Amino acid sequence: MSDYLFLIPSLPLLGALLCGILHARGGKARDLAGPVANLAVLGSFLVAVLAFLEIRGHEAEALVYEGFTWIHTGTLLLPFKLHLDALSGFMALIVTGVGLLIHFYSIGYMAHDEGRAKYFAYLNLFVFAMSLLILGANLPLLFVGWEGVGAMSYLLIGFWYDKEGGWPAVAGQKAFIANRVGDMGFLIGMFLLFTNFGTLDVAAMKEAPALSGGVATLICLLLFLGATGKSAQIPLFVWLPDAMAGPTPVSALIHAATMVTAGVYMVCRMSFLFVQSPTAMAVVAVVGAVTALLAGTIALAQRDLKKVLAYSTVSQLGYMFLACGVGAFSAAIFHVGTHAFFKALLFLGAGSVIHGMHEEQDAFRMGGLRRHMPITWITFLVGGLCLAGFPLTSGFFSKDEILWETVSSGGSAAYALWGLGALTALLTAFYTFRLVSLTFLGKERFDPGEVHPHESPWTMTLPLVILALLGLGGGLMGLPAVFVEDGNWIHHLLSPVLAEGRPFASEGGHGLDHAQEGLFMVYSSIIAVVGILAGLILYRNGPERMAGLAKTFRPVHVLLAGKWFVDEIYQVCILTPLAALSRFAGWFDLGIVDGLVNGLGRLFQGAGFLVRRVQDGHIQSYAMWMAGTTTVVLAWLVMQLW
Amino acid sequence: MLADYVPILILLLVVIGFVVFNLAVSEILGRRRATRGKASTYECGIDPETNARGRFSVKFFLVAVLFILFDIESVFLIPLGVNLKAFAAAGAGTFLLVEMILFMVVLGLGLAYIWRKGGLEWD
Amino acid sequence: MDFRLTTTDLHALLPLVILSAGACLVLLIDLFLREEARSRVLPPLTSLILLGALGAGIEQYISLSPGSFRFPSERLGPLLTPIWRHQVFTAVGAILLCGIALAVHWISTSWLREEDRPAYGEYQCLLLLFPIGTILLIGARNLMLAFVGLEIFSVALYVLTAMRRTRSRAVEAGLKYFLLGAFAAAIFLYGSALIYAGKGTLDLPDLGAISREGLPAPVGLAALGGGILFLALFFKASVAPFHMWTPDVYQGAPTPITALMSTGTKTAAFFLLITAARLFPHEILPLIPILAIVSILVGNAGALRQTDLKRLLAYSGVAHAGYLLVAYCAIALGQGHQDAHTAIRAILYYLAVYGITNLAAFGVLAWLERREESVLTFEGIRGLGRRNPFCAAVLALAALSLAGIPPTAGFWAKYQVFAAALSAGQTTAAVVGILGSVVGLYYYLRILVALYFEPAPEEARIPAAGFAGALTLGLSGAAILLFGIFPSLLVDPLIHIRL
Repeated sequence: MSDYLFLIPSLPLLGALLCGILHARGGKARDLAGPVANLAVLGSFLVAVLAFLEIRGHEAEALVYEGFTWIHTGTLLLPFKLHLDALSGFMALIVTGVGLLIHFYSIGYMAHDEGRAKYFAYLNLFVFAMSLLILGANLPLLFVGWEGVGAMSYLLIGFWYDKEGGWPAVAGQKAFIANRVGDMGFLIGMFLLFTNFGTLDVAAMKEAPALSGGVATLICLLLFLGATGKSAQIPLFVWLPDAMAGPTPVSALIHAATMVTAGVYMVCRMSFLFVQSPTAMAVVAVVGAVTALLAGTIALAQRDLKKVLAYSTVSQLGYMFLACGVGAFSAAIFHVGTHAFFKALLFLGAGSVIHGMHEEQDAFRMGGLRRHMPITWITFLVGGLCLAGFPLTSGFFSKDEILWETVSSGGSAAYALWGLGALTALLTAFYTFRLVSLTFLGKERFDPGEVHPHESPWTMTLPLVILALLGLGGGLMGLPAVFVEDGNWIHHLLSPVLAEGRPFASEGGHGLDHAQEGLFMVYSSIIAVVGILAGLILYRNGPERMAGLAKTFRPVHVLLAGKWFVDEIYQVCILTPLAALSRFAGWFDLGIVDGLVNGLGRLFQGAGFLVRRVQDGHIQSYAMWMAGTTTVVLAWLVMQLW
Repeated sequence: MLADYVPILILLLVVIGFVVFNLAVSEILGRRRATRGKASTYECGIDPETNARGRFSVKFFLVAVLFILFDIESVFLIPLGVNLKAFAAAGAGTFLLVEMILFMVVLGLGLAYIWRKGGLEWD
Repeated sequence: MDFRLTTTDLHALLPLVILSAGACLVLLIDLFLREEARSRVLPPLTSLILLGALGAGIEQYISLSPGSFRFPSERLGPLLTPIWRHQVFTAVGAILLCGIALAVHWISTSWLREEDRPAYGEYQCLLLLFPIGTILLIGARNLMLAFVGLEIFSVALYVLTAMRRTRSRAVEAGLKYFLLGAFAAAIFLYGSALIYAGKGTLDLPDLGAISREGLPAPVGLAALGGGILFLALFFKASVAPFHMWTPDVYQGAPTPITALMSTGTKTAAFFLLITAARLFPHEILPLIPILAIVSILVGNAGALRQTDLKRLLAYSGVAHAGYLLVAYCAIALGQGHQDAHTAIRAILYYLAVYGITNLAAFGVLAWLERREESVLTFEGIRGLGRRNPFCAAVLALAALSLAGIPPTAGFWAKYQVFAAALSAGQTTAAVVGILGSVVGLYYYLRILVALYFEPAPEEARIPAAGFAGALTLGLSGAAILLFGIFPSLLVDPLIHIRL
């Protein structure tokens, strides 16, 4: 199977090429792009499944495909090498599998868009880049996928670049720039890794002796900066909510299920390095927990359907980093998996709603949709339950595992982190069901004469149903020890490839046992149920009832609705000084650098004039030049020789 | 060493002597009676004293160039011919013959070229 | 004396035999066939002859490369041994020059049609004489034979330059080239005579003796002769200040012939410069970097203000001769075997790439050229990107390659040349070379601007190129990219050049 690994990235690449050609052909040909793109992703999904089946049972090993030598310069040897082990195999399944469902959904969603072939080309390119990111056996190859994902997200966020006064284009730029900031960290980290290890092959670095504490911390923090860019954590999370400007399936694919998990994946991939630096682990955990809470609070006050989901994504990613930070890497990946299911489900459901509501996104102007869109309603409800962590859904198990791992990682810091996580869980359950209530329950708050909500076609609802089933049953991948001894399949799968490390464990390690795990599970359940009930009851009949509350706590509401004004703070503290610096650099470049260059240019122009003067076209003068030079050389020689 | 060059010296003296002798003889024996006809250029010649920038027909040059070309090329045949016997004795007679024939063929090709292109026609 | 010719002798001379017999045949056909029959027969026949010679060169290369099947007795017979170099080096030269002549023949079709002379026997015959002379020059182990070769191709070029004899500019160019060329030939002969007077022989030393620890440097009369012999070669390679003829002649000659001059002559001259490097006296060595720097400055400065593309490429050719001399410094001044080896390979690589690139550039110009001469200016190629995307793309690629911008082959050529010079300690020349190529960017990119960013003039007729011309352009354009992306394709074959 390892010989066929290259098919996973190359099939979507081929698909993208074909879609590009179809786009260029225009007209009817563009309708073919959807099926072509779907087939390509289906192909790589099947290859991923086969490859995954092959490594199951001997998880410690990996399938390796080594193609051509990509770069060989000096001591740097980079082959085009793909590497599929339990971790990358699981991720590949998620990416291609969920990706496939979203591709399928897109056929219906984008059916009437002029640029649908281009859209599918981008989507396929995205899957190509993402699978390269996952399968790349060395960091530069991973980085190619990393950058490719960034570029595709830029293109897809700005896909409708001419709508709404060009806002999507601006959002695309914002995403790209925020990512670039993170990429810079990643790149510098990579350089440092190369200077310290002499190689960038992940497996080789893993075998190498551990780094000294300070260097490891520095590298880990730089890599983590890259991860915060891609996975939307503090301080670089600002792009993700704006990324909702793209078509909704894009939000589902990129900004919920796959791209944003790249940072988590990278941290897990490099877990052997992170465990060498407890400081870095602590930073990761704290950033994750704080991001989760911050995004959760912002989500409370948003009206836009997709915005709420976007902030919930940021929040859930915070959980994943929290898990990484406390050393529970497999729990993080578990949450990546379940989150991919239910968040894709929620976004696609939201897409279905928006589609049915004629591009309306404001949840305050919806309501009562359960009567009009039954399938969407049921599946969205399932997704909401998962996100809220309703007991026995997949989201419950993965989130609970993270919270349990956090609290059991030992020390008082762990309790504090758990507190943040639990509070976030409460908020999550609340705002999720606030959204569910506002959208589907109560009375219609739109003009039925103008808007006729309708259920979406089967191509859109089928992925919803599949994702709903996955969301409900996904928890079986990682049943906690309380339920079934050794039932945590994903932990068994991943533990051979992930590192072990407990940054807070110095104060006694696992002080808690199974019985307490059960207890904490009950806490989680209660938190989820309380949040859900609060959301349902308070927003049962629309937003009016809570308007009073918002008025009472006006400063808080303004702060939350204004997203803590992070964008504005960045504007004032970073962008404005940066713009001033840019103007100065521009002046320096135009005035002094260009001045020098232009001066030199003029000097040469003058020299050119001189050369032309000498070149007067008279053969006599040419011969004179030749004879003169010959004479001079001869004279010089004669003087030297005698 | 230098004795090898004695025949050349003798040849040189003979050539100079021939010229001097003939000029002297015609100077001494010849009678000078200037007439108009004698002072004029020959019927095929060119006026000896004209504007230096006068134009010649390019055909003169063509004929001169062709003559020099074939004249000099033919000279190369002489050493070949002279040495043929010595070469034959050394067993390289065929080689030299083939070389000569090749040389003549190329020369003949040149002649054919000039001929076909009308280089030998005056008008 | 032994006059037997061995099979190895014939093998060594095969490209020359094919070309010479072919030239005679072409001349005969020109004489005795009717016009329309000639126009059908001559162009393909010329292609066939050149392809045959090219094939023979490649076959020589393969059979001489280490590890391959060797010819029964690799040594030449007694007749050729003292005068001929049956080596990979010669084979590489033969391949390059036959390739150049073939490409020039192919890009000539459109020009010949424009001149109403599709079957121009003399033109094709002289075109065949060019590789004969240059291969003789490259393979010669004796200065006299080299001079014969030099004269064969020079005379062919004089005539080809003035081919359009009804046009004053062409005649002027031919006359200038002839007079100055004769001057250079005289210098060459004078130098040879002095070498003979000093050393009693005209044999060129072996390639293996090129590096510093080889033969002792010439002294006395031989040194004087060696010094001025090089000036003659610098004339052929259009190194400043022996470049004065270049712009006028390039402009006046038919464009395909300009291509031949700029690529073939430079190739031949540098091959001889390499083989004759040991004739260079020590006393004159400091002159080489100076001439290199002067050439780079004069070439780039001269090209800056040109509006005529052929003149521009002529000056750019002067600059490129300078870059080549920078690498040549490493041979002449380098400290050891390794430096010389690297520099020789860098020069050969550069010559190959420069040949391909210039053929592409002049090929496009030859395609565009019309009876009215004014087209080959910046004005004439304005907006070509829209009028003829293929031509424009090839010309743009060529300009990028001449400027040395990756991913074109020109980048690697420049890189190798400067790297060779630096590793031999020729820092000044290399730095000037790099700065010069930055200046060069200006006028090369002006070509791109004219091609793509300026509106096309109305009523611009582009003659049909014909299949062969288009093929040449396509191949050379593709080669520029291919060797730019995979430089090892061209580097590896040069490894076999034995020192």
